[in-house]
Amino acid sequence: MKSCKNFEQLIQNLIFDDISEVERNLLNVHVQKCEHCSKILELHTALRKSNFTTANKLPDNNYFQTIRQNVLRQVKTKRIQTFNLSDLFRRKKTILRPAYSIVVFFIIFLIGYYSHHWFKKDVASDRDLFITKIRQAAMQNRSLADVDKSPFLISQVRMERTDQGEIHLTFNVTTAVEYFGDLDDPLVKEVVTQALVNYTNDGSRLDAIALSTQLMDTKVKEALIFSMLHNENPAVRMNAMDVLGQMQLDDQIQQAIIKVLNSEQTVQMRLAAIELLTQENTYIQNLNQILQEKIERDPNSSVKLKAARSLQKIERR
Amino acid sequence: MLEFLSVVVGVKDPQKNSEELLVEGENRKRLHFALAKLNPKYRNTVFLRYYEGKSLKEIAAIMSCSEGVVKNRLFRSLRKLKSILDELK
Repeated sequence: MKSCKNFEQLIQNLIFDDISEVERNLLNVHVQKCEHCSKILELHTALRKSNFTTANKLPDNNYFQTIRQNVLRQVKTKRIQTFNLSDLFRRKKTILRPAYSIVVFFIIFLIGYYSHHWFKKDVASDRDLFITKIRQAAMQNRSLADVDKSPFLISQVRMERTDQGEIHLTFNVTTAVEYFGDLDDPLVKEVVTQALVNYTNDGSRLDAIALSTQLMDTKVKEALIFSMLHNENPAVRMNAMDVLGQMQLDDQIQQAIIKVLNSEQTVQMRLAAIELLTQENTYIQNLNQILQEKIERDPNSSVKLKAARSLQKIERR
Repeated sequence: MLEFLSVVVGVKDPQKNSEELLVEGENRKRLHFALAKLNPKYRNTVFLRYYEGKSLKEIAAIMSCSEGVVKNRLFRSLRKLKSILDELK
């Protein structure tokens, strides 16, 4: 085989009739000994002979016709193999169209990038508009009765103070809303009010009660009274009463506390009500009569005792 | 040697009988099969040289490669064809 390597070049030359007489003789001598090379040469001779003499007589030359068409097509398309930018777009296989891929990828990227921004912008502006509407409604709601008629029903409220002193609100008004506002913000007051009267969890209601101590607002006060009287959770009722007790006891609050004293089931609340009503600087009409009724009719002895002591205190004033 | 040659020669000899002609037909099929198994680059080179009778320069121009590559490719094609035909025997 090693000697065959030396004759490969001569065979290649022979195939294209580019061989001298001396080389041909040398090759003939080798071919006599080497079966491998002789068979290749035979194949060459046979192929050449078969084609030039009998190609047209071959019964089945569709195969060659197909190859011919393929080659001619390649000759047409690949006539000169020089780099041309347009080739990047003309190649048949999609995988060989890097320019197309880059352009398509770039377009997709641009569409994605801008649509994301447009979408974000639209959502932000929609949200701002929505919050503005709720704020406007909140500014118009001056009492709990107004809040009841408000078109925006606020629920699922969560609130917390931020380090900057703002109130961070999260609530639902048909959709989830996140909002930052200070204590004077009407929307903050509205959300606190609705958190006290609408459906939300007790934790949020307690948060709202805690925050309402700093909000001097009629509707917040009315919402606190509502919670004190009607909330199912005694902790909420008790907290609401505590906050109301820290406020100036106006007629509205006084009447609410008297209602608590008369109808509240919790002993602690009744005791706290007596405490609030008998504070110094508080004048309530018929308080003596109310306390006397408690002494006579309240089922709990602690309440009776507290009422009696408070009555004595008032009489001493 | 003559036997191997007869594998690929498709010449119709008027002196041959029908049995020999059948064998020739079979041999042509084998050659077609062997050509079909070749790599397209090699097959095209064989086709251009033996069927179209193109010169070395012409094939190099058509296939957009150097003459040395064409020579080498054709030699390898023959070697591959030979091995395929050997397997088919």
